[in-house]
Amino acid sequence: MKEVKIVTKDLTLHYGQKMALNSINIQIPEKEVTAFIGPSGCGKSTFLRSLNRMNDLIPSVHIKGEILIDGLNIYEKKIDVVNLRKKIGMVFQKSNPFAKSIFENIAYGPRINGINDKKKLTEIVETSLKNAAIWDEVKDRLPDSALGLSGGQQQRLCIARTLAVQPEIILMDEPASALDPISTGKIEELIFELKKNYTIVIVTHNMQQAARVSDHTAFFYLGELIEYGKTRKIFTSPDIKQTEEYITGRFG
Amino acid sequence: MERHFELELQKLNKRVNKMGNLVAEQVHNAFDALLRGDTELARLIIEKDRKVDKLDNKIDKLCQSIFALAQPVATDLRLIMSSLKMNNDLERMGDHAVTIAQKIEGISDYPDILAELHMEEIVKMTDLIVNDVITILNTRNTAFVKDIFELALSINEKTHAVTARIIEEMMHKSEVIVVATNLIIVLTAIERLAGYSTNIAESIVFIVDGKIIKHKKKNFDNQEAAAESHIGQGDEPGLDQMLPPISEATPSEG
Amino acid sequence: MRLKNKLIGGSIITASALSVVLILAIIVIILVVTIIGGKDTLSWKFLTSFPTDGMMKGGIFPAIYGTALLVIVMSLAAVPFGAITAIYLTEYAHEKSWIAQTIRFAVRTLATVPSIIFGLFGLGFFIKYVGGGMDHLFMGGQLKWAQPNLLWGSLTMALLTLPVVIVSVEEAIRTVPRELREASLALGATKWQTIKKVVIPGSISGIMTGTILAVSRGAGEVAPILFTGAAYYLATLPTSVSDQFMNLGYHIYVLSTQSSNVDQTLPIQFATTLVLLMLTFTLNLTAVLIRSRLRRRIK
Repeated sequence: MKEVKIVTKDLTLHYGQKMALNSINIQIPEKEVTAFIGPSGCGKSTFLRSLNRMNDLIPSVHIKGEILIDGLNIYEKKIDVVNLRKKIGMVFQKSNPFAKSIFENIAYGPRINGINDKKKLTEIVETSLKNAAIWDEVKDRLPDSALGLSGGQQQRLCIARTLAVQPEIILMDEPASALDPISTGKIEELIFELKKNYTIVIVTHNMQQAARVSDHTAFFYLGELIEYGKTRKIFTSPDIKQTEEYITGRFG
Repeated sequence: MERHFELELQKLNKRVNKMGNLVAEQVHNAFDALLRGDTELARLIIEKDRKVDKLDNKIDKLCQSIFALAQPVATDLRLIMSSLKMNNDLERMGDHAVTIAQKIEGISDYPDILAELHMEEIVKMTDLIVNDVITILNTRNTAFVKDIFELALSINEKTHAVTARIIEEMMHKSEVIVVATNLIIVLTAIERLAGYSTNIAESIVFIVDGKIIKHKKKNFDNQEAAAESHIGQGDEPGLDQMLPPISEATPSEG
Repeated sequence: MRLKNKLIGGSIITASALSVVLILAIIVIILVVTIIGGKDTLSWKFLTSFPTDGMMKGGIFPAIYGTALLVIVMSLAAVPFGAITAIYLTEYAHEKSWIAQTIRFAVRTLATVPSIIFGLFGLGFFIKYVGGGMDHLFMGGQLKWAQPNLLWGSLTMALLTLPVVIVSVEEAIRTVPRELREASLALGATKWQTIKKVVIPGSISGIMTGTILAVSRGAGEVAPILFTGAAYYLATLPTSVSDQFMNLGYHIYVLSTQSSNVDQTLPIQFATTLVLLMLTFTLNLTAVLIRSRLRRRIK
């Protein structure tokens, strides 16, 4: 296992009175892909969204325990959420480009960070689009609206937009669930490329996708982390019966 | 679209090819040792079989993880299924090379017996068929598959003929029973080597063309259908095949 | 049973059809009557000249000009104020906090208050209290602000149209998908940056709709400005917010009730009504078009 990037210690999360995550302990390695799988409502998305404190937006959420990123507890008072989110990019289930041009979508992050130099922005936009493997498809239409792109392209644009902020971690919440198989394949290939430089955590309903793209797999059920290990191991001989039942589709 | 999964397939191909080359080398050395009565070389072969077994495990594991993680279909599915089977066949071929190596000592008391029985030819043919099939495995060129089937048929006939002669000898001279039995075991191993070679050839046809020819070689080529009747089964030969009556040594199906 | 259902269904359909026809008929009658009555008088000259002969002849330019000034000043007051309130309600206030609920209750109540009450409020609050205070403080008791003028009229009208603006802007802001806000926040934007760069641009057409509806309402209302700024007749155009102004709606009222010879001014009345109708219709139509474009975009 490589260096550990994210560690959670007894992370417990409540929505009001309802417990959504129960004492999660996990170590997520750097520059590898970690997939969260499990049935709907098992807490995997909630867990993902607590890693960049997106759950802060929901007033009824209460969190106990620790999430350490590079050894720092991100729920400590002195942590600036805005800076934290710059370090931890997020790609959402539904592609959500802004109603702006392709260029401005990518430049959004750098601009809010105070980069306004046109030359610098152009450079960032090009690198980000290239790294998200969409440059060739959009390089001649950067001033066009991003809403004119296909669903798969939009999602890669959103990944490029995330890359433009130069995060260290990229969280992906079912990034391909709304896409056709070809676009899904492209996203998966992209994930494989991105892990050379980024720590990637992906939530997916699609077990095969988890199998294809991830190095480590965590199986969640009813707010608990049931099993966590190398993807190869989880998908060939999991240790726990529930995991086996879920991945083989025998889940009752 | 480039697929990172391609890398896994390449790795698998590389390993299967490596396995093929290793087994071909083992077989070749086994024959060399057999013809020269070289018990030292025989010992080396037996030792080296561990390497074959290790590689066999590695390929099995790789196939398992590709099946589990990549959900292969079409060409990819055929490749992995066939790789698994070829790996199994190659491993058995390695075992047969070991069997031959193990029997060398038991034959070495009669240095001239192989020549007497004209076994050099069978050995050379088998060395050739193994070598050829590994070449096909490495190149994925199915153009010469037909030659493999013909060669296997011919080896089959010849081993059965020699086996019949040995049995006859045993009836007259009880003192040769030990060496004769060893020889029959070697011949059986040789026949199996030819049989597995055809299996591998079939697997490669399946990978490349997607055709299953193992139980209908008639469609593939009439001549091979004959070979199939004796050697196409793939697994260990039955008792009747080990010691076949002379009348059945010649193929009857066409 | 089925027959009964059929009968009920049938009568409902008939009733709705009848009311649609009735409404359409009313609109058509109004239009036809005003067009027939006003078409001969309506001319470029009518729109651009002053009333003459004790408003028995001449044009209605001061009334158009005054109405335009009124809605401009009113929008300048109502739109920013309404938009900020709407942004606060949707983005900052918790749905269930007492302050948000109080504001919502106030907005709803404000929308139901009769417009004449606004006029009285304007008179009492703006003219007597604020204006009087200003005169006392700045003018040494000399009368300047404590009388009806454009500013007080516009502010009173702004109060009346505020609910329209707030509700339209709120609705527009809610149509900005949550995913876009999350995308912006996830990129490390602050809440205010998100509002400025994503939420407001995303709801700009809603803000425009709200403004136009407010303007349209303001252009047609008379009661709030009766006591707070509209003048019976002015020989000169207003030049500052402390001047009084003429207004289309009020002008119609004046012509039809205060004129020494109502019958003689009838063509002028019709033509003025036609101008007012066309103005409000056009504004409403624009608002409807923008709103439907916005709705299409959401789908």
